[in-house]
Amino acid sequence: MLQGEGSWFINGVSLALCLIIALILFYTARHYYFTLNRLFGAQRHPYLDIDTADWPTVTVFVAAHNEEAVIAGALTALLRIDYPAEKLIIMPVNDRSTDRTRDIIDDFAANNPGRITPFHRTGGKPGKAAALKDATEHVTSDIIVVFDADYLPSRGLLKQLVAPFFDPEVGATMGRVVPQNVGSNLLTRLLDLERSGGYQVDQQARMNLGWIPQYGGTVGGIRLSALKESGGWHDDVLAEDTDLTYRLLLKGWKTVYQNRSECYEEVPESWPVRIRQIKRWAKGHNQALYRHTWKLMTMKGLRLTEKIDGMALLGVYAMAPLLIIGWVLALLLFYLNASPLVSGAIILFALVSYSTLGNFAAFFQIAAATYLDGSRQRIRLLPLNYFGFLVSIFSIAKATLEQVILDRLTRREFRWEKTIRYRKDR
Amino acid sequence: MWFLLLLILTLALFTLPLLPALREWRRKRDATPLAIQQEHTGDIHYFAETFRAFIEREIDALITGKATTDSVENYCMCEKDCTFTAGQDESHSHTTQRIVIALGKLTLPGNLTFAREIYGRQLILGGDNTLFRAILAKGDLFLGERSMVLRWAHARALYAGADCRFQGRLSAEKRIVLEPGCIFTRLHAPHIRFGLGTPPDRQNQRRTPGRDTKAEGRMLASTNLEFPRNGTFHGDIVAHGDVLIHDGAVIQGSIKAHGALRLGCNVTVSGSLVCGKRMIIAAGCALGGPLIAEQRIDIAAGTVVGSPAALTTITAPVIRIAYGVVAHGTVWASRQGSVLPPASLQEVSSTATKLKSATT
Repeated sequence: MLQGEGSWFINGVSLALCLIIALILFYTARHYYFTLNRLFGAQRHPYLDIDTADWPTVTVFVAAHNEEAVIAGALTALLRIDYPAEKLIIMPVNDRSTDRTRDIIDDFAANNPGRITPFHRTGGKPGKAAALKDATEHVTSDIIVVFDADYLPSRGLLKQLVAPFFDPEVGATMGRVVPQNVGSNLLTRLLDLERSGGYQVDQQARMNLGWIPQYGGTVGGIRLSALKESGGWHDDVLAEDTDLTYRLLLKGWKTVYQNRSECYEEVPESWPVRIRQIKRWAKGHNQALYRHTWKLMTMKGLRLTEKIDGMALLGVYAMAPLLIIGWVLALLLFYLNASPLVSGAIILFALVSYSTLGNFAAFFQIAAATYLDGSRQRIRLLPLNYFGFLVSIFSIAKATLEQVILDRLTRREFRWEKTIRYRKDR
Repeated sequence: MWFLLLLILTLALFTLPLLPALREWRRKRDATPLAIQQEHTGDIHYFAETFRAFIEREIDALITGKATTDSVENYCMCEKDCTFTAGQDESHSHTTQRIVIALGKLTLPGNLTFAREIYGRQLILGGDNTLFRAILAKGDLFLGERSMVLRWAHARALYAGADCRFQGRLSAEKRIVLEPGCIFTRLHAPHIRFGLGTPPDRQNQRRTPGRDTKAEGRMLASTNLEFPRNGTFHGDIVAHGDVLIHDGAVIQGSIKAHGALRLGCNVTVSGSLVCGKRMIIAAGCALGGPLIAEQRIDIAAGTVVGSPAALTTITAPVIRIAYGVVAHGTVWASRQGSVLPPASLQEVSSTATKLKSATT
């Protein structure tokens, strides 16, 4: 056992480990709280029953970059949507496509006069946020709803996403995305469970509690006046949706989650794509954590619970490297023969490490989410999510390391990559 | 040898909990996407339209003597004006299991249960204390006092006598009139009148000109907010506490209160009203809508919500509406809506007045 000069080292390591354990316990409690709230608490869907109204004019963006295989399906679905035609502007945002996307959009516009207003972008900064930023210059309505080109909105979806904007405090709305390619392979099935936990429990619990549901960038709406007040679209951030949620919040605008406003999406079918996706999310969240933490904590007019929830949401990806650091510290202390008190902490850490890997993917919430979704057999896959989470933890930790050290040293900038489409046609 | 056995046993121990997962992975018993209803729009007329299409086919079959999807004995059809007469067994049990179809005016007796649907191409007159499963009238529909509809009712215009109960949807192409004591969940019509009382003519009301409190913008209040009598505001109001709007105020915008929201008499709000708790609206207000409360909405007599040109929605778990209120569009109480009897008319207004005096 180290004594004298060496004891300060053990004390320092012990303190660091205790702090990490405290954080992990906090996230564990948070997940349990959300899950219990969804299972037994009062459920909030205050805007769901608005089925008649003087509906506002809405511009629907369909973000498209080389989407010849799927864009027609999205436009067809939007033309059939249940919304007053004179108040609906469908604006496909064709971002520098080099395939037939432009021709398909123009054909639809010609065949449906007055219904579709194409926005063709031939240059400028690549990426969805940059394209939306340019397209927003041409918007005349106060409400914008964003879909990706491979989405097939149901007929009732648009009204559900617009209804919350009758609340003058709402700056953004978010629907639920449901994986469509679930049966492709094990990864898609695990991601289906993960998404289920994230939306069915995590997002809806935050909605129930009046905390901070997150705008997700697609299957969601934005109030243009709120967007402008919050600084508009930022094409220099890695997770525009998270960043926007907090910018809106800091200006007094709320985000509303509509759990029953569902739309299909595709999830990654290969591990490299999944790893790239989660690394981008991790870097984006960490960037938002860095940008908004102080402002959030010092903001007036926000309840303490909202601040804590906001911090927890921002810090969720920072927990992965902390967990790995915790493992290292625990091993170190074990071999340094630390005091019995710390040994107890190590055992506790081992327990929570084993049982709370899902902090980063709502592990505990998944079971409740599948129950709420009425699924029965797919929950059997839950133990396999453990391996998915391991991949996520190391990917996130690597992304954080890159962001903190390599990206700064090499001054590497974020490069936008188009999401791979797996469906060939509709 | 022992090492190998230990290794196998360890692997088996590790794999055993994963067996259900591995089986599901290989068998794919639950690997389809969660179902999303692509065509669902929540249209209140859906059941009525589906039934109308079905029954019109059945009428053709019954008239021409072709086979119907149900047994002919299960129908009671009259091709002219008629009064439904219960059979002996039906009179004894006070219940009929037949689908009633009338191509002319239909009169229904009271104190009877219609366990299946009723369809009338013209006027339907219901007796008192009658229970219906579902009822569709292409003409007007009159339901007697203490009637009950279990699933839905749709008509060109619908009038319900006192103390009726509607568990499902109630819709009309022109108007719905509900008399006091009626209990409902979801109503939809361009014109919904609660009681036949006449709403006050707001044009004739004298209003003291107030000063413009503020022009344009969004007013944010971190606590309770009180808006002055006869004040005018152009913009939205958002308060983290309760909101009290005094008599005669005019808000050209929407109001959101995290707490309770109370409107005094003769207040005008062009936009929506949203609150996290209880919404109390005193007499004679004119509101653009929608009205959204997470606990309860009380509306006093003479208030008009929406307009024929701009239909809107009133939604809350509990809605209590006084005799003399008019709504245009949808009234949707997820738990229970009720029309207050004339004797209780003062309740909402007096509650608003009490709350008002307590805060001023």
